[in-house]
Amino acid sequence: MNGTFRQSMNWLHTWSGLLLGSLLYFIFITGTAGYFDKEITHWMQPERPIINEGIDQRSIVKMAEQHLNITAPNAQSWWVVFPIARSYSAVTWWQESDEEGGKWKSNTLDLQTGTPVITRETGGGKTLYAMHYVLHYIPKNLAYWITSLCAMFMFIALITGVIVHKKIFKEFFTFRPNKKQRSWLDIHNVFSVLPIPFHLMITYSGLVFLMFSSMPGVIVGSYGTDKEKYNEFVESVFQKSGHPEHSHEPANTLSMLSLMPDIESRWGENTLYEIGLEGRGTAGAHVQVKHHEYSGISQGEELIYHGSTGELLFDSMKESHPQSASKKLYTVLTDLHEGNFASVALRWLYFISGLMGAGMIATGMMLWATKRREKAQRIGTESAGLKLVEYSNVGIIVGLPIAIAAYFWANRIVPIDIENREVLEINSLFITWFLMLISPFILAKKITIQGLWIKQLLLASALYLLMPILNALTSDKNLVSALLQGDWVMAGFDLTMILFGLMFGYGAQHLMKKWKK
Amino acid sequence: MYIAALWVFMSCILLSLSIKRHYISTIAQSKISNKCSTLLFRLCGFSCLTFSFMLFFDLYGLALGLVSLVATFTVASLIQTLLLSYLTDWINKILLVLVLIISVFLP
Repeated sequence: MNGTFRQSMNWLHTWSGLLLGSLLYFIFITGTAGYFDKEITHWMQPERPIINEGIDQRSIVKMAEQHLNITAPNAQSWWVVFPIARSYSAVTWWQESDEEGGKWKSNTLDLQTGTPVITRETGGGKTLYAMHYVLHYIPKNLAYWITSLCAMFMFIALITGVIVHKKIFKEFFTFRPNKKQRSWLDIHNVFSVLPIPFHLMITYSGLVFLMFSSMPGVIVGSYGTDKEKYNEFVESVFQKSGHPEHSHEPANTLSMLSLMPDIESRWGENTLYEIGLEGRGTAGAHVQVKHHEYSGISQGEELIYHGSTGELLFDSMKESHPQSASKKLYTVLTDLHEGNFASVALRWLYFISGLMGAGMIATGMMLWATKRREKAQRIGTESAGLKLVEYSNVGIIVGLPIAIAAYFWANRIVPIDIENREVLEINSLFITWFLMLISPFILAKKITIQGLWIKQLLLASALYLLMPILNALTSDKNLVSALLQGDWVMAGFDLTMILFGLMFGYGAQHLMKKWKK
Repeated sequence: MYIAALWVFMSCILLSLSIKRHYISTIAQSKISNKCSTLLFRLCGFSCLTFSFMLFFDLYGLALGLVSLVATFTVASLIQTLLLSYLTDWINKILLVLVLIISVFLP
C-alpha cells in the first residue's frame, strides 16, 4: 500500500472486496432471499391451504385455543398468528413447559376443520434467510464474528470505493457494453453507486445488528462475563413497559377469546397480526396483542393485558416503551435492515437493491480477474492466483444460485416422511455448491473457462425454468391453478423462478454468441 | 405511490440529460452541450425529485417516505441506465409519455 491517497484507497478497496468477496456474495444472496422468506416457505409447504377471504379473527382464536388445549395443555406460552398481511396461514405457536424441555413448536391450522394441517418438514425461507448471519455448520457466535468481519470489510470497500471513483457524478447512469474491462468497471459502478444508500444502510445496520457479539468488551466491562449478568444487560436494554412481574405462583389465566371484544373495540375487527398468552397458569401471565400494520418503519400498535384480571396494562397508542436515544437509533437501523414494514412494492425494491448488492460483489470479482487476464495476455504468463480466482468465480457467482435451486428441488424430491428432511434439504444446498465450486477445477483441462461459464449458466437456467413443472408434478398446486385461485404467492414464486431461468438462459446465450465470434 | 414513482423516473431522465455524455447521445446531434440546458435539466430534475419526495412524504410520512423515495430512485436510475445503454432513442418518447401521464394526474 503506497503511492497517493487514492492509490492506497484503491489497494484497500480491491483487497477488502476480494478477500471476503465470496462470503459477502453468499450473505447478500441469502439475505436478499430473506425479504421473501415467508413466501418461500409458503411454496416449500404446498400442503398449506389457500386463504383468500378474510376470516373472522374471533373464530380463529376460538379454534386455536381449542386446538392448543388439546395439543399443548401444559405449555407456558400460546401464540396465534393470523392469516393477514404477509402471514399466509393461521399458525399456532407454543412453548413447552420447562419440565417438558421449553422448546417452541408450531402447527398450521386448517380453518375449515380447526385441525392442524400436516405440512412437510422444511427449513423454508427462514433457514435460507438465517444463513446470511448464522451461516451454517459452525457455532452461532463464530458465525456472528465472521459475518461482522464481512460487514466491516464491506463497509471499508464501500467507503474506499466512493473515494477511488473519480467520476462518480459524470459517470452516473453510464454503462458502456461490449468494451471489455471498461464494461465490467461500468457495471460494477452501476451496481455500487445507484443503490449506495441501500448498501451503506444494509452494511452499517448489519454491523449494528451484531454489535453485541462483535463488540462484547463494552458489555463485559460493565456487566461482567457471567451469563446471568448478560441477561440482566439484555433485559435493561430491551425492557418493555406493561409486562407484569415474572412469577411462578399458580393463578387462573383468562382465555384470549374473552379479550377479543375489547381489542376489537379499540382497533376494529380483523386487524390483529398475532395474539399471545405468556406465562400461562401463573400470576405473571399476560396477553400480548400486535396490530398487523406498521407505523412508518416501526412495529405497529401493541396492547398488553393482565393474564388473570384482563386489565389493560399497556397501550402503545397512549404510551411508549422507554427508550434511550441509542436504543432508538438501534431500533431504526435494525428495522431498516429487516424491512418488515415494507409493502409488496417496496419489498420488491428492497429485493432488487439486494440483488444489485450481490451484482456489485460479483462484478468486482470479475473485474479483478478481467484486469489481470488482460495484463497476463500482454505479458504472456498467468499466475496461479489468477487461475484460482477465475475458476472460483464460476462456482461462486453461478454456483450459488444453482445450489439454492437445488435446495428448492430437494424440498420436492426428498420423501416427505423421511426423518430430518430439513437437514437433507440444507445439505443438498451445500453439496451442490461444493460440486459447482470444484467442477471448474476438475474440468479445467477438458473445457475452457468460457465453456464452464456457459455450462453452469445453462444448468442454472434449466433448474429454475423447470421449477414450476416440478411444483406441478410434486404437489396439487401449479402455476395455472394458483393464478386461477388467486394464490399470488405460489404463482409469484413460480413466475419469479421462470424469470431467473430466462435471465440465466439469456446469459448463457449471450456468452455463446460472444465467444463464437 | 405509482404517480410518485413516475415523478422519480422523470427526475432520473432529466438528471441524466443534465450530464454531457447522455445529453449528446440522446438529444444533441452535434457534440456541443449547452451550459444553459445542462442547468435547466438539472434544476428540473431536482425539482421533480423534491416533488416526488413531497408525494411520498404525504403518503407515508418522513421515514417510510424517505425509504420509498431512495428505493424507487435506485430502481428508476437502473432502468434509465439500461435505457441509455441499449434504447437511447426511446428516452425522448418516454419523457413525453411521462409528462402526459403526470399532467393528467396533476390536478
